[in-house]
Amino acid sequence: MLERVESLGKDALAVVALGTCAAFGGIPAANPNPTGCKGVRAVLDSKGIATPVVNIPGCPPHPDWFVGTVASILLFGLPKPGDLDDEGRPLVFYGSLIHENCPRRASFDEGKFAKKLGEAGCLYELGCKGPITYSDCPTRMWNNGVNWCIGSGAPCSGCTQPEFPDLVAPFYEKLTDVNLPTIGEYWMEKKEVK
Amino acid sequence: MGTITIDPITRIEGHLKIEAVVDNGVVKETKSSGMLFRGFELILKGRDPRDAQVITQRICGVCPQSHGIAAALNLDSAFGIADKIPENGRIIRNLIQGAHHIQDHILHFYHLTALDYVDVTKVADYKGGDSALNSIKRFIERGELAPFFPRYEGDYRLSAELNQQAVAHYVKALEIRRKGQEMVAMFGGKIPHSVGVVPGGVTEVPTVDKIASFLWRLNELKDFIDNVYIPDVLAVAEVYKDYFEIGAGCKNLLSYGAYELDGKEPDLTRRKRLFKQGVVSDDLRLEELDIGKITEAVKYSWYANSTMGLHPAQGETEPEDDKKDAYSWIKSPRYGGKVYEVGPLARIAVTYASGNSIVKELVDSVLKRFKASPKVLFSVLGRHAARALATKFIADSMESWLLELKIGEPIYTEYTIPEEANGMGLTEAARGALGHWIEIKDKKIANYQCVVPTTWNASPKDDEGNPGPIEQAIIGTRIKDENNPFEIVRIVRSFDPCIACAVHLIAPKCRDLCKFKVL
Repeated sequence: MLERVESLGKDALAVVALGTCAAFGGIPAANPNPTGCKGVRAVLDSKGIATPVVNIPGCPPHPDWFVGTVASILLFGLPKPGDLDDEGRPLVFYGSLIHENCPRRASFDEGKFAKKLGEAGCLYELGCKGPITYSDCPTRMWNNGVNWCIGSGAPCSGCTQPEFPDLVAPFYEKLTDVNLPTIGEYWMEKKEVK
Repeated sequence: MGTITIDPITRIEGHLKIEAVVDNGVVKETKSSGMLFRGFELILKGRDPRDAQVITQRICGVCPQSHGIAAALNLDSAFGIADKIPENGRIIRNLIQGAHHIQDHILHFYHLTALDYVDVTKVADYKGGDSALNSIKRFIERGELAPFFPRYEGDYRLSAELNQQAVAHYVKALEIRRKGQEMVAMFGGKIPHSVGVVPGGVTEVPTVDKIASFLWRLNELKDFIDNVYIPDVLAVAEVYKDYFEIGAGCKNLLSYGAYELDGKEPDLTRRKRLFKQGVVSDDLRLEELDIGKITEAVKYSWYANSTMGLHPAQGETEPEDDKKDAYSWIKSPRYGGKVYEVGPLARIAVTYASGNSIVKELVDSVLKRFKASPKVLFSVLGRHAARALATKFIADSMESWLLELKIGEPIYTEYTIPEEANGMGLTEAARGALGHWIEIKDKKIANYQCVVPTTWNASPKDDEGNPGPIEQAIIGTRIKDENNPFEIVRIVRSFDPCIACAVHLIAPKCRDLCKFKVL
């Protein structure tokens, strides 16, 4: 697989790294990373290959993000500098935090937190990583729009983030060192992923 | 005398290699090799136990739900709440798992298996008005034959009309599966990698509109199963009857049972379930399941021999990729030292042997149609038929479960994570018996083991030299054309292997792991 990434990546117009594993290493790369996994960008960088990489992270990635990106490249060409964020993700899909568009945001703002799974209210205390996760899940939702993680009462696991999984786990423990209610501002300072 | 090597086997989940030594047209020896590993048990060590449900689902994107259920049951057992899950939680878990299995079985027959028997090129002669078929016709006319080609040639026996109809059903099955996944997501949040099943119960509160939304889709799925899926399986069987005599395998079947009908019994091997727990052989006499009899051999697997013969609860593995005679990353689970096959055939046979009248009627009606004895169940077509009947059995049971949900009743029970505990979760994934075991120390995962259905089925020889189920099913088969070994791939696919699941590894001492051979 490593050889294919190099030999095909070298001559490609662009590489679309589909899923958090391809984009950032993901779960196989989680501590202790038994197989030495890395994301595609990291592999190409280490071989001095400059082919543009578009990251479509997510565990799994939403099919709309993938098809939308490929269609966009075919119709309008490669993404321009302002189209991708610092992690190489298309802003059109990953431009806002889950927290910004979450239907439970009003509960967060009022300090109404669910104390156990199945209760109404903001899921922050139950481990929700929505405040640091860039993705359009609240509006696009999943599986033809029938539901999504927070919609089903489960905290967001941060699966589109480079921090997934080690720096967002434990999944059911809340984010620490968070200043309510200015969470967004705190996380603008990016954390280094080891 | 020659060796046929098929590497990788396509149209299955994951990376499987089959080597068959053929002598005078008959397979004398076979090796089934699982090629890729990631090391999930190692990754799980030291983590918060509740994270097991999230991480183990990532073992596979086709059947994550089954791992989610097994992990939740495992954690329920470790946390001491196995008999305290609220009724709504029990039911919703069944609905999630049921919807997932239904679409997974349909996936297997149409999108993985069908092209072994169906000739898609016959759509080039299609003259009707079905838009899906006309779209495929244009596809073929453009010469765009991938992903249907390259393929084996020389043994497609259905009539032009049946071929066209089967392709139309292949396309329709995509829509049906989408609806099945929507049902999973309705209570599970999303799929793949759902969030709705957790230790203690589920997260999604049932409402009337969810129930209605689930039900209309269930009705469509039932209609497809009864009027399209089962008739298609039987239509293929009519024309490929020799496959009732091919791929018998080891003729021992094992089921952990699935779908809790009662939540009060903490011992999963005794709990009342829709599919029963137990083992049968070709005499179809039911024997109780004794979980203590499961061991894993590693003589022909790339792990140190010192870890041979351990029960999964004490599972320990040390990889050794240069081990002499070893040929797979898959271990060899055995029951009472003997080779056992798992899967929908096992579930159906065990439930049949337990005297379940519905399953008995379903199986007997198929046997009657083909004027055959139960021994034909142990075959390529037996597995496909059993899978279709298992799908119907689940689907027909789900409506009454759905309507038992009580709005406003609890869905989740709280717990405290113990300092130290052991747990076990047993269920049936679409592909067969799935077990998760956990050992908790200092409130963290000290050890986590998964013994997955395809580990059983695609296992290499054990230390007694007994080949695994897929290997046994291939040995002794006559191959008509060694350049187009239909027989081998049809046998392999009848097991519905999932290799991402089958291969796993733990290295408790964290030594340098070998370079893995990637295809």
